Amino acid sequence: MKSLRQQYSEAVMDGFDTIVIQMDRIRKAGLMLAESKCSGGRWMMYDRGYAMSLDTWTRGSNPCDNHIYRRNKKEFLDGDCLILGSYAADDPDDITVVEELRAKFSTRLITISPHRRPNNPRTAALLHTLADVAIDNGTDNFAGALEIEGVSGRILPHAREINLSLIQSIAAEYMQNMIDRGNPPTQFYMVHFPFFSDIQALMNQRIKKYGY
Amino acid sequence: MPEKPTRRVFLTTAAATGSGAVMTGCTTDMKVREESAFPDKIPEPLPKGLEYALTVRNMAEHIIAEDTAKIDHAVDICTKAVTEGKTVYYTIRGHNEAQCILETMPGRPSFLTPLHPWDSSVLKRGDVVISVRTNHCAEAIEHGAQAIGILMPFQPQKTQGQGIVHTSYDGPYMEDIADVCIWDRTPYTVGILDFDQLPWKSLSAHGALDGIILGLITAGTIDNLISLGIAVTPV
Repeated sequence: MKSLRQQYSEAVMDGFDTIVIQMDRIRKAGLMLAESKCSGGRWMMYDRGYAMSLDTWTRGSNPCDNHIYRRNKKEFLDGDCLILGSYAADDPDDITVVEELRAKFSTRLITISPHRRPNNPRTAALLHTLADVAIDNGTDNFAGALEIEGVSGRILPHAREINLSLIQSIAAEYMQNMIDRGNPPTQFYMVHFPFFSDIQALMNQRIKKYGY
Repeated sequence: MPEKPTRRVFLTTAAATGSGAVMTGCTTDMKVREESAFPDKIPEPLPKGLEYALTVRNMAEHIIAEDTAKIDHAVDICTKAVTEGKTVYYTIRGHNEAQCILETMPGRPSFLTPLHPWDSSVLKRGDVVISVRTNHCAEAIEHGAQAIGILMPFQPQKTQGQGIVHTSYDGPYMEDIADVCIWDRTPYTVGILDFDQLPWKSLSAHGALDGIILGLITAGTIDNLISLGIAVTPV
């Protein structure tokens, strides 16, 4: 019988394989994000708890031109492209965010979520069915937590690691698309490097000037 | 004493050094499993999304394959602490926020305690701290706890970019002080991919890899505790 460590290792590697297998969708998502950006829309991100979004936003070396959707501000604009990450196929909160997005014109939605249908869905439509590009994180509503003899209940979820890797893969495609269009994205500098304040101030000027 | 570099010299040096610091086997040795679901042929040129995915995949695979002994050691430390009634704390975070999936979703083992915000005054002799921060490891050791360090890009590192930290920095280094130090395979440039026309590497990966290392240590500890007949409860 496999140990939990072995199960966890395999589950993580299977998660990365899921990313590779869906590369067509990831490329499509990156292209759509670039098209939206070049049409005047914004790159928005949301996941409940912000575990995925905050590790991408203002993160050293990452592109500057992304925004976290703050639920209390309800700040979607026409033309926005949202990457919505979730640990569930049927979180009602996620559906509400989608509705808030679609209340604006010409919006686009990329979802990162489990596509596996839960036994008793909590929502009329599963999240990924509402997306323009839907990417399966390969887990389930337990966020990839595992079962093992000797433990009652599931243990060690790993969906955050997969969701984060998925959004970064999309970001990579987005960045290359923007470069190909003559719009190389502005990057955040690294806080632990010398001259951080000066160089980040320069990056802030750049993003203000170009918008990307 | 070397002359203080200009910004241009620094960026050129950092970019060049960063390229060399990416570990062998990550960007140049793309292994593809020969299974039917995998693409039959890696496209040329390699799409950036695929390059990112394969790079991170390789990093995770390298950790699992090459750091078995270190993970075993960390597992032994945690197992011993739990069996002796001590506490295993962790401070693996996302972007300095309370985002760890182990606190937002069910499935954290009951013996693993988040320590946020960081407060070394709660530590007792024999406790264990798993952290990505060198100062946490140092404080843990001062309190008689054991330190399992996960070396991420923002920490001073002896093996990469030692000169990136302030020139007056003379330690401590996690590699020296922690009971176990596991490098997450990401370069000190944080970003892991080169892009044409961009001045430095882009797109971080340590957020995922640090979580995976914590998961491996935790999984191994759970296995040990089960084999010892000690109950493990997910919370």
